Amino acid sequence: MTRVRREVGHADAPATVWSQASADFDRWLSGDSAALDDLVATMTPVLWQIARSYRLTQEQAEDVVQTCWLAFVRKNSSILDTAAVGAWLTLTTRREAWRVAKRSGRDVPVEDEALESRVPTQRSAESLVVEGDRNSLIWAAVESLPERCRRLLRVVAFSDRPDYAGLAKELNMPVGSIGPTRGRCLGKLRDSLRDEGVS
Amino acid sequence: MGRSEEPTCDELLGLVRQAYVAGDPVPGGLISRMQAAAAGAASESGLGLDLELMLLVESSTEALGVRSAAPASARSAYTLRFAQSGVDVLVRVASDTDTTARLDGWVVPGSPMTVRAIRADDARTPIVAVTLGASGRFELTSLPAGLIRLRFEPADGSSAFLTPTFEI
Repeated sequence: MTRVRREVGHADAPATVWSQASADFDRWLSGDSAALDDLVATMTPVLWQIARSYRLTQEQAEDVVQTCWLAFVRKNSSILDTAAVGAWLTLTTRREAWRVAKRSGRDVPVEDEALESRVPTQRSAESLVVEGDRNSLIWAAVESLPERCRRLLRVVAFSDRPDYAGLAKELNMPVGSIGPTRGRCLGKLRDSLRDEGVS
Repeated sequence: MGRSEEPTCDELLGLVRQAYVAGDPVPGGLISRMQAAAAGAASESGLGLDLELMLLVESSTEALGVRSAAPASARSAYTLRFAQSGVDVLVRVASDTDTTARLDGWVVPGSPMTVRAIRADDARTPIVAVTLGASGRFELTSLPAGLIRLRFEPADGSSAFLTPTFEI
């Protein structure tokens, strides 16, 4: 049974989650073998979100997250700065997710707005009922964004300063346009939240 | 967020997180499955469970330099020798500045590995790490005074070694 430990919530800022991850990693290196469980509990929800932003199915995303943890166990000696463990795990997940997405032809986000209406949002219906109206409005606003925006904002939201070069490659965009695109996407989100009366 | 103000970028990204955490949550049991996978891999490769604890087999103090006004602690150095399972580690600890120390080490037999200095007290200062090659030589500088342990992680994935706590 998993120990319940919620010092860090799933929706906390990446910097907070990463600093908890680094503390878990430090404890594990000092010989506390239970700290590995804590590290996995701290980072798995974030890695899940990262993997899912690559249009992977639930099964594919779960495989990607597992591959990342196995790689971590094998290669953690290469992480010399333990404060970088969150970044390492996030980047490893992104690379693997992108590889899997490419293999299954899901790699390049489609800009086609017409596709938006076909993106299923009902997967969230159950949790939205629980979370209430405000969350469903926010969700609707996020889902109404073009796909490139959704992927970009999702990766950025769950990473502490992601590398723009990698994002540019994955999104098939020039690296110089990541910053401006991020700004435009946030602008669209702001507008659409205002239209829905959330903010 | 402010009632009349536009949400900031950080606030918007917070909302994006909130939306996805609620709208596409981690599947039930995923965390437990990942914990099992990681723990399984760690015990297979000898990490975590089979951490080898090294024993202090020798320690000696050397007096350095001529007498001066500097405190003795700033001029003395000492040598420690740890051993376990055919691996020997020789460490020389010396003052670096008034408040920091340097550590010169030699692992025999030498092989590529990561060496980490781990704070053994409650202070959560960053852990320093270096990689070392086949020479087995390493140095860690500017270590703040306090209690530390050294952890050696062979690059070939075999069991890591951990020294007892010692003071620098």
